[in-house]
Amino acid sequence: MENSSPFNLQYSLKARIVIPVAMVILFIRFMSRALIPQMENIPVLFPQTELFYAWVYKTGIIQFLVSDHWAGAVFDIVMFFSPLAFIITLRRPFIVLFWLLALTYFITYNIVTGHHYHGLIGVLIVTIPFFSKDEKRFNLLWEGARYYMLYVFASAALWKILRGSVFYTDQLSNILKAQQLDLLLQDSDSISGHIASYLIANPQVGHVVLLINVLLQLSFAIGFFTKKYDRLLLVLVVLFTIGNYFVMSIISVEILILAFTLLNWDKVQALADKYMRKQKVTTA
Amino acid sequence: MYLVKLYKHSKILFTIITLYIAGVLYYAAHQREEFPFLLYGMYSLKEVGQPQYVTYAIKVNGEELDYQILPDAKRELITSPVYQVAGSDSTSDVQKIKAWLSKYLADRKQYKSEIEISRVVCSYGPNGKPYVLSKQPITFYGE
Repeated sequence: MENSSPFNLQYSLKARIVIPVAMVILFIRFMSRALIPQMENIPVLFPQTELFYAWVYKTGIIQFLVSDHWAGAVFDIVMFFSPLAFIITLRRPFIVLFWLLALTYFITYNIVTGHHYHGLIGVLIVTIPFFSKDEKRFNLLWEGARYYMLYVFASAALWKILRGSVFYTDQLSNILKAQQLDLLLQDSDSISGHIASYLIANPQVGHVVLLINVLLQLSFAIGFFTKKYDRLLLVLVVLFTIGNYFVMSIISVEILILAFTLLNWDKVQALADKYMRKQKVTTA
Repeated sequence: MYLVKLYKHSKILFTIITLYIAGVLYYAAHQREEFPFLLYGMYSLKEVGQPQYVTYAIKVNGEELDYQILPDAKRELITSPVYQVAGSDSTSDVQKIKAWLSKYLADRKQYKSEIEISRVVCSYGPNGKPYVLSKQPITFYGE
């Protein structure tokens, strides 16, 4: 960083906390053998109906990346080293490069699986503010990422209300019958297995769980009007993630990265300063 | 207000964000998702109960693959294409996926593994647990 103005300190702090988490998310995918060169030339079978996906599909980039092991390997190495270089140097070209590669990986994974998952969107959205070192622009983009987080949850609640599925008693029970079929066939004695079979057998209880979930998601709408409840919303995001894991077996960690936008960064900065001062005293 | 602040700061940024919001609203009105205008329904479509549910089991070298022990991203990478092609009529796609699985799921010491995909039809009992009605391997002429 050129100087140690309060903004530059906070930019650097955010970069050094948020970007490593993005790297961890991708590292988990590496450990899951789900990165491009690890896909072992997966056949690209599914024609794309969405315009952007269809366009990318037509360019042949995805087919090239999954079929050429070395191209995929270079792609992955750069995808891991660009954020690392950004964390160390805070030079913006590295984060822009990382964003482009993460976007390409996101599209590739969705094209080869034939299912358009939203998970990595959290990484893509929370990275955008770091494209700018102008204080006002960065803060506006960061605020925009916070609004996106609120939108994700509020939208989920509104769709359920507008489509009327929230008022359908058997909704959660029926979702679980399809969603948890493999779990119930293979591991019905797990905690999630017990929860799923109980909620399937008791649709009324399942309906109460669904209503609580919709209320939780709807409460994020308040964030559009005030930041006063951001701490509460942060707790709700964590509760949602835990609930989603046990009831639906969905791991929402990849979208959870957006919750960083709900943190009070002045307090985080104060804590970091306190820690640094303590370190200095200990070394002295 | 956010958009006013954005407008005062940068007209270009304001235009990009406004167009994005307009895009989301447009596709929301048409109930259609187009990247990057994601809608986040999160299981909002009404789910009607079925008398039977279908899933697919994969056997690797004679042993059934336990999806539950697979990490999330790997499980999706395996099951999503399998469920889609196995449910379709495309014999060649199923064969391509089986050939890929044979390499992807091979033991490190082996080059290839033996893959069998079965169609599993289930129904639910009053205790909320599924029971298998039928389990048929998907095979083709010549296999």
